[in-house]
Amino acid sequence: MRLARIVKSNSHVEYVAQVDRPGEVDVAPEPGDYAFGTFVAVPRPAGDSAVGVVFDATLVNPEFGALGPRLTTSTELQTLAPDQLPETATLIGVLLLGSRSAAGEVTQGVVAHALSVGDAVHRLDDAEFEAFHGSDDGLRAAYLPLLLAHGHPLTSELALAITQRLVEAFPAHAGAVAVLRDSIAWRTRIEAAG
Amino acid sequence: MSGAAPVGTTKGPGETPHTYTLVAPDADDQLKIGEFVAYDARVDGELRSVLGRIDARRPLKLYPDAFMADPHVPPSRVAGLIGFDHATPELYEFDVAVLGYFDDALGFVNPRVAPRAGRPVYLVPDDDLAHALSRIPHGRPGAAHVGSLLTRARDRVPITLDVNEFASTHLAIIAGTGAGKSYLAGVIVEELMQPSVGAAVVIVDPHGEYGTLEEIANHPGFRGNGYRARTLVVRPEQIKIRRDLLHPSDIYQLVGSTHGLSGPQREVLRLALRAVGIDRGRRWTYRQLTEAVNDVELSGGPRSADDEGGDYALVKRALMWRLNATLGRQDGIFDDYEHTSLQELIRPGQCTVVQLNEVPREEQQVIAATLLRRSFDGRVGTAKGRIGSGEEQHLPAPVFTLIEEAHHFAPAGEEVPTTNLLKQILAEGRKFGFAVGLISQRPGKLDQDVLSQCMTQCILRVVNPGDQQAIAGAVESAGRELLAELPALSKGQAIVAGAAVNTTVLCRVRPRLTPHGGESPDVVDAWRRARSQLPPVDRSLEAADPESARTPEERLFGSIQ
Repeated sequence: MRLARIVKSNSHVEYVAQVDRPGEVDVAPEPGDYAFGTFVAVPRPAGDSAVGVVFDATLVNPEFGALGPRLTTSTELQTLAPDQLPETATLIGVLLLGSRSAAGEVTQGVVAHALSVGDAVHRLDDAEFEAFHGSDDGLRAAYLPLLLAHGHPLTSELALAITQRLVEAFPAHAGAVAVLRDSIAWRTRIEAAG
Repeated sequence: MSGAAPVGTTKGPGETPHTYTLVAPDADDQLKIGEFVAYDARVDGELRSVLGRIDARRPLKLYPDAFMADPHVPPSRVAGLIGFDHATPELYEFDVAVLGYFDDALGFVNPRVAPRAGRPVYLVPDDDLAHALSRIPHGRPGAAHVGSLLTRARDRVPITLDVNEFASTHLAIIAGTGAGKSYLAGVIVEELMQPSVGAAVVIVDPHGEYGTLEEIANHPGFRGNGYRARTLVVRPEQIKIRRDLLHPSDIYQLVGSTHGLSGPQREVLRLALRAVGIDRGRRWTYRQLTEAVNDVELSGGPRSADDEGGDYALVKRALMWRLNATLGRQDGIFDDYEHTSLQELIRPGQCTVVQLNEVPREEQQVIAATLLRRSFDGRVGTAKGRIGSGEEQHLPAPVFTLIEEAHHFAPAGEEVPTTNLLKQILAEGRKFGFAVGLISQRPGKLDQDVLSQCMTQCILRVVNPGDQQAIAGAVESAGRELLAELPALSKGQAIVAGAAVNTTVLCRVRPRLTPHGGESPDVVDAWRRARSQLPPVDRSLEAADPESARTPEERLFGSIQ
């Protein structure tokens, strides 16, 4: 399912995407589709995809603060000028965690190639999420150190959300993931508060 | 110098001038405390393999504690989950004491410069190590094979003691109870009785633990080229010591052992001994001594108020009571005429076990003192030509005497008949071929001068901190770092240090050829056997006796109404 398009980058691994609005695509995504911790893929012309996770969301509203006198109300404006699109937007932050080749081979960690403005952002379904984390050893989340080192205030919570989802998706490896999750939780919640 | 694969890298100088630090992952757990490693260095223009011994090990890089939260999940699994797949993630730093390169003529020669950082370090190959550690190679005459290097697989690196060295500059075997000291002593005696050595060995055995060495005489390992080792186990009832061969100090010690000697009693005894001619080497009998006691005349001095008989009659009576209870006992080991021959006890190729169990400690000390004094005098006299071949004290060959429970014979802070004698032997014995091996489980209670003069030390597990401190104070050659291993040693593992080896080593004691006699008794089995020999309980009597129906508590405290 398509969610958004890349509009900006803050670094080699951190991108900003604008969520598709009604009228721009056949089926516009609901807020639940691009929730915090949602895994996404950004296909590239070569056939491979960058894989990332939604770690932030920002609302853009040009009318915020425009409190001066107006000739018409916004409801009248839709009647008088129906082709004028609303200028509000939802921006999501996407942190790249790895890549997936056209053959389905997964690489976790820093992605070699940068994305381009306009690249479409798709949501990964559960099967794709599991395929991205599956390995010969059963489970791999080698991007977690990169994620935790990112420095965004929400990355620890993001890591906790991801590890919790991994516990549920990979019950056979729940023990190892739980150790990691509990370690992160202790550091980010207990030690941070202590 | 070595084609061995490197196991680590030198980091730099250590805290002391003769140590360096080594960094290694040690994935195979090869770099144990006491292990020997080497690096190649150019010394005086020649490439040398510089050996060192690992004394300490510290982790540099370990998994976070939090990774060990679940005992079912190894930390490596958690690390692998986040992409850390290194087979050897841990890293350790080791303190290595530099021994130096080994020179056949000079032994270890310290290059006196720490290795540069980044030098590859390898494990010293077994053969090189066997050559460097032991002064005499295993199998050569004069090499006492006591075991193998603990840090290598069993028998890969044999450890031998130089018999010439410890049989002249003395030996100490120190261990806590049950750590295997009498077992190791048995191994050393076995080596001394090999055809290539054929020593004259005497064992002072206060607990009767060494009787099993009798098997040496029947074991094929102790025969060859016309030689056959002999063993003589002398039991308490077989020991006889002629009274007139005792030293006055032995007699004072023995007579005063039960209730002490008062000043007047001691004086009467001194005069009586002088009267029988003890200071002139005259022969005397017990009866002559008692008569001399009665005949002693004292002039002046304190006299008891109730000394009605005069001449210190009470003093003499008390002294006689003490003499009769010790020196004059008819069933004792002291005799007017019989004396166990020194030449019968001490012969090359013979191991004599003098069993002193069931003998009071004071008598043990006097027996040991008499035996040591006469044999030492015999060796000195023979060496100086004063004692001829026909005389009883003629001892033409060096003597090695093992003394079990040595802290009873040279206790710290107390003087017993053997103390000064042992000090004299330790100081002068080397010149005359007379050496002792002291065995003790309480080094803290052993005279420190005595312990420190034993130039070869075999130290087994010691847990008592006071004893550890005593060892550290007296044994200079064993590094303090290795001595820290003492409580961690297992049964049959020993630190061997001193003059009979080229450097301090951790040794796994070899199995005995003869049975071991000092094993802990099976108490439970003894109880079971004793129960089975009790007469059956008559249950009909129990039924008739209402008392028997009550519990032991009820019999003691009565029934609660």
